[in-house]
Formats: sequence, structure tokens, C-alpha cells
Amino acid sequence: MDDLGRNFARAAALAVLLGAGTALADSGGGSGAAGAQAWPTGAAAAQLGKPYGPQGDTWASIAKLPDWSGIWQLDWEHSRGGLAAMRPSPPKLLPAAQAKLTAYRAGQKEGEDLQPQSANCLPPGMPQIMTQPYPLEFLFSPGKVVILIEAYMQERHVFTDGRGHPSPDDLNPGFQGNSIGHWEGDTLVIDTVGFVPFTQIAAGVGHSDEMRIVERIRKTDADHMLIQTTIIDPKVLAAPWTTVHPYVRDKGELMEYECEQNNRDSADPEGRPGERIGADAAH
Amino acid sequence: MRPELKIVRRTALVCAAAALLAAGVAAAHHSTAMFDMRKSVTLDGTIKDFQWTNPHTWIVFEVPNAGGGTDEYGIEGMSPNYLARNGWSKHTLSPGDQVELTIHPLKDGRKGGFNVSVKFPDGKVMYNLPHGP
Repeated sequence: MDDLGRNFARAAALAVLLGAGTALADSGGGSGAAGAQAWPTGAAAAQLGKPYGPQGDTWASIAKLPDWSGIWQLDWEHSRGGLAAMRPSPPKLLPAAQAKLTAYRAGQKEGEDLQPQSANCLPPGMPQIMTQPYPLEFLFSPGKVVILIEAYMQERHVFTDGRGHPSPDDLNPGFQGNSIGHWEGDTLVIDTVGFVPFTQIAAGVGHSDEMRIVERIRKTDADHMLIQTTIIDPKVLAAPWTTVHPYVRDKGELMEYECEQNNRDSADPEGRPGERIGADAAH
Repeated sequence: MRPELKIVRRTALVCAAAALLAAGVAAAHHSTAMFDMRKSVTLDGTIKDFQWTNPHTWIVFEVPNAGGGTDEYGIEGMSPNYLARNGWSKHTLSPGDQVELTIHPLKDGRKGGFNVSVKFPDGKVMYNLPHGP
């Protein structure tokens, strides 16, 4: 295969894997951007480092943080370092989770699970809410970073004021989970726990009550950002699963996204798709 | 940009669009399982309504039938948020516009489908998913 053919094949492979929502695994320094190579990989990616540099606990401290203003789109068209720098790898599942995935795929052949419940406008929650084809916005205020997500008009509150997670007795599971974080120089490190059963690690792969998500977010230049996501779930995953997604700053603002405004799609309890095609809008 | 990189980018965009769609990410809140994504049907007709709404824009399209009347089709498009970032607006289609729609039809045979592209009388084409440069 000539160079063009190889690039085409890589582009196609990349596109398919992005399309499946599994994104691109961090291949150990090969994620294609200078600085991402300094990030921990493998099991170390599941560990949090120590905070250093400004922590955004006051407005004066926030003024020293990197400029994350504007809106940020998943940059599936191209990544810094080129397509060749990104290699996909799916999560390694424990046997019980693998059996569930196998059953899920078998069900799909029978017409089940072809439509996720998000077709009924339930937001997907973490982690998949972070990789929708709609932009993000980051708002800084003392002790907190709020991540606004245009898809389903979601928000994540990342507390950077030094607090820990609530105790398991007090922790209320959510779609976004409970997020705390700190800055390691120019990188925001986020630790999230406490998810409702509805959210999925990937299509057909659910999570246990022990799922934990560690994210590292940093800009690689003025208009590009990388988010490294490590999912830890000792009851589902054979090893922590790390993916890296590139984002690019876009013009404009977040827009409304009220999913039920004119929703014509549906999924029955077994995930069979429905479509309402009459002329009347819902709302 | 070197010519071969430009081709790869365009191809990657088209591939990405198709793959995103096939796996449901581009459609975001749902998959496209109810449409025959491997089949394209082209219809000439008149816009009756263009609903610029989330989660999907919706085209009500009147197509002349063999009996001398018209059939009403319901065509799903991408979110207005997505389309607005790819050159569309609520003004792109208006009631009375006579256009050629290419769609991926519903598998169940009802008169509906997923929008591929709109071709206007002046030859201009607008795509539901980005086509590339």
C-alpha cells in the first residue's frame, strides 16, 4: 500500500474508532502532542499527582491559570502530531463484563440495543458526555471549575478548593459523578466517583459501584487541548483504560440543546429504535 | 498544504462523517439504526416546513406522486447547533422552496429518512454532514 493508501487506512481506522466513541488510547507518549508525553501512562495514569502552581482559589490566582476561555470542540478531523501518532485500543474486560458485551452484541443481531436510551433524551453521563460532537466550555471561579457541555445542556462541577469526596454513606450517585480536582502547573487533574448505573464505559460495557475516572486536561498550544481520561473499575476492567481526545477552540458560543424539544426518536426498553415522522413538531 | 495531505483530510472528513454516523456519535442522542445507511434515494419536491429544533432539525417535504397528488415525507437532519457550525441557518430552507433531497430511507418503508444533502435550483448543494473543503 502506498503512502496515500496507508494514510487513508489510518484515517479510516481512526474515524471508525472515534465513531464508536472509544476514542484513542494513549500509547505511552505517542498521543501526538508535546507535553502529553509527560503524562503518566498505564496504571500510573490512575494516580493523582500533587498540586503545584496556582490553584485558582482566588480571582488573583485564577488570573495566573492558563487561558481556557471560549468553546472547545472534539477535534476529530486531525490531531497534532498527525493521525499516525494515535493508536486505538479497546478496554480489556474481566470475564463477566466480556460475557455481557458478547450478549449485548448477540442481542443487536436480534434487533435489540440498536438504540441507546439517550434516544429518550436521558443524557449519557460520564464518561461519554465528554465526547459528544458538541462543544465544551470551562468556567473558572474561586475553588471551582465548571465544565459546561452543550450536549443535553449538562454541567460538571469540579471542586478545586481542597475538599475530598463525600463518604460512601453520603455520596449520591449521579450522571456526572462527584468531581474534585487540582492544578499541576498548567494541567487540571480531576478525580470523579459516584455514578448512577445508567452510564456506560463504552457501548455495551456498564460499570460497577467502584468506577473512578481520572482526567488530565491541558492545552498544547493557544487553540488546542488534550483530555486524557483514565477509567478504573476493578470489577469490570482488567486494567485501567486510558484514552486521549484532542479538542480545538471554536468561534462562537454554546447554544441551547433541549433534547425533548422535538424528539422524534425513541428506544423501547430493549433498545429497539422508533421514529415519529408526522409533520407536527413536539413543542 | 501538500496535495496528498489535502486529499487525506477531505477523505478523512468524509470517512469520519460516515463512520461517526454509522456508529451513532454524530447523531449524538441516537443511532441511525432505523435508516438504511447504505442506500441513497433522491426526491424532487417542495419544502412544506423546516423545523430548526433540537435534537434534530426536521424537514416536511412534499413529493409529487404517480396519482397526480403529493406524498408527505419526514426527513431528519442534524441538530441546528451542528448545522449552524457548518454553514446552515434557519433560513437555509423555507416553505415553498423547490429542491432535490437525497436521503437514507427508513428501513420500515414509511415515507421518511435521514438527510444526506439538499440541492438547490441554482446547483448549490448543502450537506447534512460536513463534506469537506
